[in-house]
Amino acid sequence: MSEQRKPSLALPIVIAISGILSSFLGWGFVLKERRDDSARSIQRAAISARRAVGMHVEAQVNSLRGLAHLWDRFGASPDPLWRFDTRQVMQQARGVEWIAWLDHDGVEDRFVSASPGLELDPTVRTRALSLVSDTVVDGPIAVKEGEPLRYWVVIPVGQTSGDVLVASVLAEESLRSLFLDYSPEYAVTVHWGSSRLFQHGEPMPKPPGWWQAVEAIPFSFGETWTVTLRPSSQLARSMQTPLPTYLLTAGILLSLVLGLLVHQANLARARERSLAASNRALLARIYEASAQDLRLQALNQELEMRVEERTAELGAAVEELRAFNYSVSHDLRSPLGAILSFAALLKEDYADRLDATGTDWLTRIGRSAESALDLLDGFLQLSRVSRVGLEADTVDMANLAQRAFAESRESENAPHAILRLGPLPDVYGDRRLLGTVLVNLFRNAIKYSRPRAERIVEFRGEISEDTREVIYCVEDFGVGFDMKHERKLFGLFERLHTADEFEGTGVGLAIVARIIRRHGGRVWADAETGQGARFYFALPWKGDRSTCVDRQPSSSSTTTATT
Amino acid sequence: MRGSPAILLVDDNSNDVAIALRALRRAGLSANVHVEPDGLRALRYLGIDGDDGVSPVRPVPQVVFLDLKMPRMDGWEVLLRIRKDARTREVPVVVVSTSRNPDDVQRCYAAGANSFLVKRFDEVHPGEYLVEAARYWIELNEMPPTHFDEGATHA
Repeated sequence: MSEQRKPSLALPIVIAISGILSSFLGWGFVLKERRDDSARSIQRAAISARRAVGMHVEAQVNSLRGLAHLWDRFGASPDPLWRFDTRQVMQQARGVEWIAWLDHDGVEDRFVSASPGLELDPTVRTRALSLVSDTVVDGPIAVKEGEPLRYWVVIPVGQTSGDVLVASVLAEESLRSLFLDYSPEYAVTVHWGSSRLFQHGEPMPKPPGWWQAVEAIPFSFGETWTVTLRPSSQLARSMQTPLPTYLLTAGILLSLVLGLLVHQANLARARERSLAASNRALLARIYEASAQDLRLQALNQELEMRVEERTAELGAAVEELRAFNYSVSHDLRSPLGAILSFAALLKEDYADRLDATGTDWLTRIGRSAESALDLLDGFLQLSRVSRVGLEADTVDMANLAQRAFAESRESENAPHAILRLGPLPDVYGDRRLLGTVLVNLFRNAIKYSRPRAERIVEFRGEISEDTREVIYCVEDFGVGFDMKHERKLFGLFERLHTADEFEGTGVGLAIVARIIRRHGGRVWADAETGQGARFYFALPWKGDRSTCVDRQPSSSSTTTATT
Repeated sequence: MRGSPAILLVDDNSNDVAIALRALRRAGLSANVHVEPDGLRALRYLGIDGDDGVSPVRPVPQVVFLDLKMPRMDGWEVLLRIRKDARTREVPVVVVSTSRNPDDVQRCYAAGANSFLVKRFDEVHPGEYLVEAARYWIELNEMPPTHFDEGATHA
């Protein structure tokens, strides 16, 4: 049970924390990669924007130079032609508002504007002519507050004439064509100094420093513009996907789950360990129990052996008892019989030499020996009744009663005793033993009817369905007995009368009780002094009425003695 | 019967023997009674005992009254030996015992007893029942002719 301890939390926590750290690292790496990527791409975009703007403006200036050169070579060609050339250049070099050819002495200025109604501002001449002799881009110029910014390209016409070409270019318009098809991802602004010449797209309000690129555009004519690229709001939005956050979150969650799983696995293993331990304990207990069982079995076997031994001993004892009974019946009967017989012989052969007293004493000797023999017979009968096995069968009670009564009448030497039979249901029992019961009861009934002129014994039975038994009754009309002695009646050697009143051994009713109890029945009696006695015995009723016939004596309800 | 005793009485109890002899004498049957006090001697008297290797020719009685419980050899075994010997196979044997044990009765009839009497102790005329039995077997009972042939050859 020492393995019941909790599994350590260290490993799961380390796993979870390292997982979370890895997630953070991965997250940082992804962010940095993306930042670097963005920085690189915006830098590239800025460079290409710079090139485009630079080339565009240089080309614009070059085409204007070409025009100036044309003017210088061919002078003022016929008007329509000059004007045509100028318009050509004007269209090529985008955003040109107007082009003016300023005569050095101011006699013959020429002016072509992109939109009608535009006049040459007199201030132009003053300003342009004050510029140096080489090509100059002047600006930024706002004609009025809030108007679009312009820049002037001022080019001398020929080296010597002193004439000047001035082109006013709308910066916004000029550059827009460059970015017509430009990616909407970037917002581009072009500055000249602090003035913003052009803006394309909506820049992100405050992009981080790494996420904008500023490129300078150095022109051949000496000016430097700057082009600034920032991600547009659109790009910012698309760039700011929550993917890394998701990854981070997922990583953290996964780490936690992993830690938890490891913890659970640890728990499970610990449980398994403790389960295995308790299994081992259980097995040990089972072994112990089975060992106990074995011991118990051994004990049982020993007990059984002892029982067998005891049974054998008991059998031997019973056998001994039987031998003893036999011996007693032989050895005790013989001397008693001899006493009885020789007393009789004395009386018969020597009667003439005995006076009355001597004869009386011989009679007493004989009678004593006789009662001792009776007692011995009763005792042997009782022990036999206890010993023999029950051989149960359906017993015809009426028939059995007739035979038992004949025997009883003879034993009691009362040939005129009368048996009256009532209804007698059959019963299930041992025929011989029940015969013994009847003989004993009939003999008693006959014996205790002696004072009566007629010795009448009634025998009847009835089925008690409530108690499921057959109750038989043997009734006589003799001397009866006091009911306060009823409980003593069925005891061994109990007698209610003296030997002088009624001879007897006190064994008969004990035999009756023993036989009936062996049948699972009960016995009782009912009497009144001087009013006769009723002896009842009840036996278990096994059948029903249809299989249990109430037998009536065929001729009449009374049978008299047959000789 | 050619000098043969009518009755062979085998009983070790001298009281019972005295009572029986007194009753038989009164009935006029005592002259033909021979008494042996145990089984072995009874067999020797009958010439069945082979102890000395000689089977002396002895008369076969008309009836044997045989007690059951006797020293050295009990009545039941004597009965078996009597029934085994061709000469005495048919002699009537009446077992007379103090025992009314059904097992004993059964055993004796199985061994070939002709009758089983339980010894009676009567207050009047003791032993009279033996006289009645003897009269029956001697005077009333008819034996098969072979019985006498066997007896005659050895007589």
